[in-house]
Amino acid sequence: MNTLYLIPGVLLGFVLGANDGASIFGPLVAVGSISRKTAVLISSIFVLLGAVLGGNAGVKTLSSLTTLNQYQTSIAVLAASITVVLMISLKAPASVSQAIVGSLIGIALVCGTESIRWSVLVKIASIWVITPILASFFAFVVYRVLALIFSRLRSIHLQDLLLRYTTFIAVCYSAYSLGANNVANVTGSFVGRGLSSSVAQFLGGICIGFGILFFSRRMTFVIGKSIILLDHFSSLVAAISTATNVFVFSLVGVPVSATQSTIGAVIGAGMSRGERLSSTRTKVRIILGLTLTPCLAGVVSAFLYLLLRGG
Amino acid sequence: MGWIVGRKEQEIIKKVLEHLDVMSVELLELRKLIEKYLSHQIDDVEQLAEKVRYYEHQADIARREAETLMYSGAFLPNFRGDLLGIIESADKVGNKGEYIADILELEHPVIPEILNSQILKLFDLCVETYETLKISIKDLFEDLEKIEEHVLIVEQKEHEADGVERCLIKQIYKMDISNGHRIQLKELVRSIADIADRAEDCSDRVEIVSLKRRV
Repeated sequence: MNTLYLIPGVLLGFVLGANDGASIFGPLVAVGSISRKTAVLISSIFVLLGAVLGGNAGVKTLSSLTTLNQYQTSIAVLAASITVVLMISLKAPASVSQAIVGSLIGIALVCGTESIRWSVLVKIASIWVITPILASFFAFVVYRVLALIFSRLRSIHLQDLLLRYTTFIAVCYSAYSLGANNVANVTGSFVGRGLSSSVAQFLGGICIGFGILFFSRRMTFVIGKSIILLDHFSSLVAAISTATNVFVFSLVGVPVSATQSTIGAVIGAGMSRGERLSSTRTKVRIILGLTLTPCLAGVVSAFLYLLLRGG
Repeated sequence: MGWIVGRKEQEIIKKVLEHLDVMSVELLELRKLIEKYLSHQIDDVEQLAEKVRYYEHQADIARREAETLMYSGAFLPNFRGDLLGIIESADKVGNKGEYIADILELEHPVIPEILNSQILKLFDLCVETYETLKISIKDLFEDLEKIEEHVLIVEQKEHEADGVERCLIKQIYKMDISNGHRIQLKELVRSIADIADRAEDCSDRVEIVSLKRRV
């Protein structure tokens, strides 16, 4: 395989690490449950572990979405990176999972619809729709279960200790789930096009970890504070629920948006407290994330492909 | 390995409780001072006022140590701020104690004998309010469930103290004394009652913290 084709994948890995890494630990860092330094360090390790040990199913799905060749895939990945960076700079909700699928479909549509495996696309799209809903459900359940344990601790000191340790475990779990679920976005589409699954998982994991380690600083506080700021307990519930949601879909083999999972989880945690946190703005944010990112990525990738092909 | 069991937090809890205990001793000394003053044993007043000031200073030291420890990373940030607010608020009780000692030692107000028992009653109620506040702060670290009950007692005691305070002021203004004398006595009564008011303010903060911990 021409390693040059992998460069967009490496770039996308950094973007994913910076954006989605911040999504998983941003709310916890923003409320001060864990320091950013610790969160970044353990996340970059566990994201790699997740990618290597649990990323296979997602890689299989994404590599079978289209029949594009190495060159076309590389352009699609580059277009996805450009789209996500563009959306982040416009402060719009960005999802790497949706950008990569949109980009691949964009080029596949230019090349001919026969290069798209529609059943895989339908499976991915339907899971995207249920992602925030399932995350809300998980948050509702996790809140109830954790609240049972938490309310039995009658000292603030013990409650703080529980929160501190559980937060640490939650960050490890979230990062592992993110690696397992999202590594496919970075290098999954190259599998079967000159790259083996295990190498793709390892390389993808390294890139995401690197992205978390060096580029997540700004996004951590942007995401942590833009998602409705809750207390330590609810932030923890949101983190565990997001991780569970992303983990479940990594078993199913569909890369999903960590940001949308977090939004769903925050809404679910709010529902458990009897608060209504889903404003019209949040709903618009979810719907925009679901539609705008893949559409924009499709347009960017098709345009880029046509430009490089010479029309 | 102390961080596993939260040794830093345990150290802070110890300091917070020490701060509260020192203020209890300060109020005890103030009680003695008021008693001596009311029984016209003026010679002991200076020495007791010095003791009150000493314990107030000791309480300040304990408070500062707790605050310094807190900002070295103990407890989760939102509780850190809350606890700091509670300590600062409780400390105001000690400050008021010192202020009352100053009034008696420096101003030597002439207190009509008829007011003595009521003044002591008011002070005792204030001390009871503070002692219940102390229990409610301890509850934060021992039994969150009991906070509500103790906060309610603080409110009741403060309300009782308010009644005695009003009664005293009414009595003062019925007396055939100069307006300046009336104002001076009212200031003394208000300052004593302030102990209960400040304890209640602090217990409100304690209650909010316990409510924030409800899941």
